[in-house]
Amino acid sequence: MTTAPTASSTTSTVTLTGISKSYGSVRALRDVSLEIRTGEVVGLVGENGAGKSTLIGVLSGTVRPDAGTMLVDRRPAHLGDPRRLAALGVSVVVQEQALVEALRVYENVYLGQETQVAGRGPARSRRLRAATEELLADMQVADIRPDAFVSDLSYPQRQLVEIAKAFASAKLADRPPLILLDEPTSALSEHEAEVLFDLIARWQSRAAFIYVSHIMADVLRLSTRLVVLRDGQVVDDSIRSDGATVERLHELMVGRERSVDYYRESDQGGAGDAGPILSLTGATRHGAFHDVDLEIRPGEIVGVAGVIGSGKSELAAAVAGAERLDAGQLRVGGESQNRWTVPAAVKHGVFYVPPERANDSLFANASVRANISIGFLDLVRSRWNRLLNLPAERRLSGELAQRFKVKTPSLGTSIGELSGGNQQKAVFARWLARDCRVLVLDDPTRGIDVGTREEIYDQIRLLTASGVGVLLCTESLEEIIGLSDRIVVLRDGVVTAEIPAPPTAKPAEVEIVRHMM
Amino acid sequence: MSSTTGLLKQQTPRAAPDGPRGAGRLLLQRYRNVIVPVVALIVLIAYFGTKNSAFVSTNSAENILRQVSFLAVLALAGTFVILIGGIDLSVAANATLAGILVAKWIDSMGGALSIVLVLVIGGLVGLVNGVITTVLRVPSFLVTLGMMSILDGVSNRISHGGPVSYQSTVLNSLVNETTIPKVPNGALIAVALVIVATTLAFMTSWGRHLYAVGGNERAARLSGVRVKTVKLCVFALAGVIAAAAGIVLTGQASTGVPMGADPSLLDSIAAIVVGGTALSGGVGGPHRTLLGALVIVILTAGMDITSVDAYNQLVVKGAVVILAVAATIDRRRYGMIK
Repeated sequence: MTTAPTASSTTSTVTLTGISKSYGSVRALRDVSLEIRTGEVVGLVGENGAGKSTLIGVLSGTVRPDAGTMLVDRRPAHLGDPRRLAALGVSVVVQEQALVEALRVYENVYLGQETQVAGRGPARSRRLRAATEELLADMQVADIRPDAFVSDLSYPQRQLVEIAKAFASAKLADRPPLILLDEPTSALSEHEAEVLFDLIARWQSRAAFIYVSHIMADVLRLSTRLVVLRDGQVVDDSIRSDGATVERLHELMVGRERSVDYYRESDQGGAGDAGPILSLTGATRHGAFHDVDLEIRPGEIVGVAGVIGSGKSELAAAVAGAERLDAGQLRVGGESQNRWTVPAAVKHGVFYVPPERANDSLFANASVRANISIGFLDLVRSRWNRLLNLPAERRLSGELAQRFKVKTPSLGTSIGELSGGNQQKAVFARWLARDCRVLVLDDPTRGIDVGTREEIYDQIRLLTASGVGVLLCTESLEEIIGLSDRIVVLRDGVVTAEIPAPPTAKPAEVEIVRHMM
Repeated sequence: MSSTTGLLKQQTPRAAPDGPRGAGRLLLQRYRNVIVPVVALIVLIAYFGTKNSAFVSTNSAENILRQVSFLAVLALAGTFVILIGGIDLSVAANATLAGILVAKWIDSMGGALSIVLVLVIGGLVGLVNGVITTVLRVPSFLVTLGMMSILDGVSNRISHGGPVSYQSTVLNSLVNETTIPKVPNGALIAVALVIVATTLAFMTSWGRHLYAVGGNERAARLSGVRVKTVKLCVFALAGVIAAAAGIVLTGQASTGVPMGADPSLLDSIAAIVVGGTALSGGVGGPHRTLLGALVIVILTAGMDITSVDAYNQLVVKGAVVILAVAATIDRRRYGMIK
């Protein structure tokens, strides 16, 4: 990879070469090379799952790459060691806040660097407090006292403390720092964001920045150069922000050809003439989504698209009964449901495949059999003594495992020993001994290899062919477009578009991204 | 469909193989939690038997059976709570209270009524533990630690700190007499309870839900398990079984003993974890607790018969608990070991 803008050879640089990182069978980063110089603000853009956060993780040391090197001023740096990288001036503000709530602001800002900043002795905390006061004044932050406890601060205030922390540790390095900002404005008001942009402008000559945000206007305005990531690869690392448009960026982010066969589009039947099986009217959950109307008809796949935090995941959970609606109505087969919980949903044939396998759906220490049969135990219970019919349970879970091609040495194997794809197939299989009317899928192919994905797509098509309605919510636009009959786009919890996606006229990704951001 | 099968066929060989890696080791790993207590049992019996031949006599066996029947029932009470990933420290105090109450009431109310009433009270105490844990969301460790102190206070107030004697022979025939020669009825009760509990755990959906909640509470909820109901039932059931243990103890002692069951709390937890039920929840079962209780009782009886100093016995038992926990807990389940 070559870098475009000319810079004098004396400026300080951070260079990544050939960085690759895989999680299981998913390749998050593939041979990424990048050079960042002092004085640059690099806007890093890409779809969800393109590898932005992994790349930020590699630069800050929280992710150890499988291959590749990092040079700081031509000297090799220790990858995967956050402390050493911080000492070289790399500091980071990430989406998940990393503050210790029980400590005060000044203790957080200089956490781990107390001696370096304020020496030793009884007056140390007074000096730390003074240093923090100065820093916050420099940042023009007036409403945060250095000795306030972080737990008493609002979310945006905490974000400002995070930013202060990044700048504080940047000041300590003996070389120009590299400051990584991953969605730093997501919690900030317009005014607070302006303060941050000001700060970046004032520091620009003394530091290098990498700025990640899904607000394209901000990225274009702040960056001196843009780097586009797609499927873990750098697509273009030399776009000058003054020449770029949001449309051009969207095209680059999305880019590739879609394979018709991959998503079994020839099997896409679409909704029948029957009325909706499940419908939402005016559905609201505070802080997640607002006034959503949605219908799922038999045989139809309804995709829900949106960036992370758009409320799509919460919407799926609410349809599955896993989260409550604060307002609005949920109807199943025309009947209004008042107490919509997971057991109620299961009773009505509405099943949920949640997003994070390890946390949400897997009993890692239990057997494959137990992981499948948890979905249908009541069906193999004797009517007169309420005891489970164990041979029937074994037979039925065996049949389901076979139908879903779960590859396992035996049904008694603990499921934690299987690959992610086989685990996910078992989670699907759990529900399909029952009469299924609606399947709610949240990121059903996360972290799963290509072959298993296709098997899952096959199963989804088979189910819809038998009249099952599917609500599909995933990070992958390609998947949503390929599978869905209709795509509902959410932005900040509000439906911004409803786009038909029949097999003959699939919408372009750009068309959907436009409504997401 | 036909257009897609070709693609599928190409993919299949690429899928990761789930082949066996050292079948023998795998087998040992899977059954480690059952093999360890059985081996421990055999080693203990052989060791104490060679040290002192009186250890393998029928007298000694009867003594061991009596002790096991009480400890197994008490440990059974705690097993279910540990299976869901909680812990009940109040089982022993609950048993003590039940023992005192049954001794106080049996002469005036008669055997059946007093026993049923005492079991109900035990269940209610457990239910209170359950409500505070699930509704107020206080960790079960603290709720039941507090409850232990409350129950100790109540039972000492009722007994005025002294033994409560009774005339009725109902408990004696229920617990001490023999139906099968040389086997006290108390042991039959314990075995019957373990069988019922094991059936509950493995052959009812409630039992399976228990393992699901212990294995991954969030996943259990998202799979349609009524987590709160399951938990409430578990705590209530623990209370009922603890009360049963108290009744057995009072029958064995022929008197209601103040603080009678309390010293056995650590032994009961030891029996559970030595049996192979993990403190982290979701793994183990009531049948294993019976094995664990046997190990603990035989260890104690063996140390008695080979005249190991009582203080050293405490040291040994404490070490056994720590070792058993270290061997069984699933460290992935704890973000930090505190």
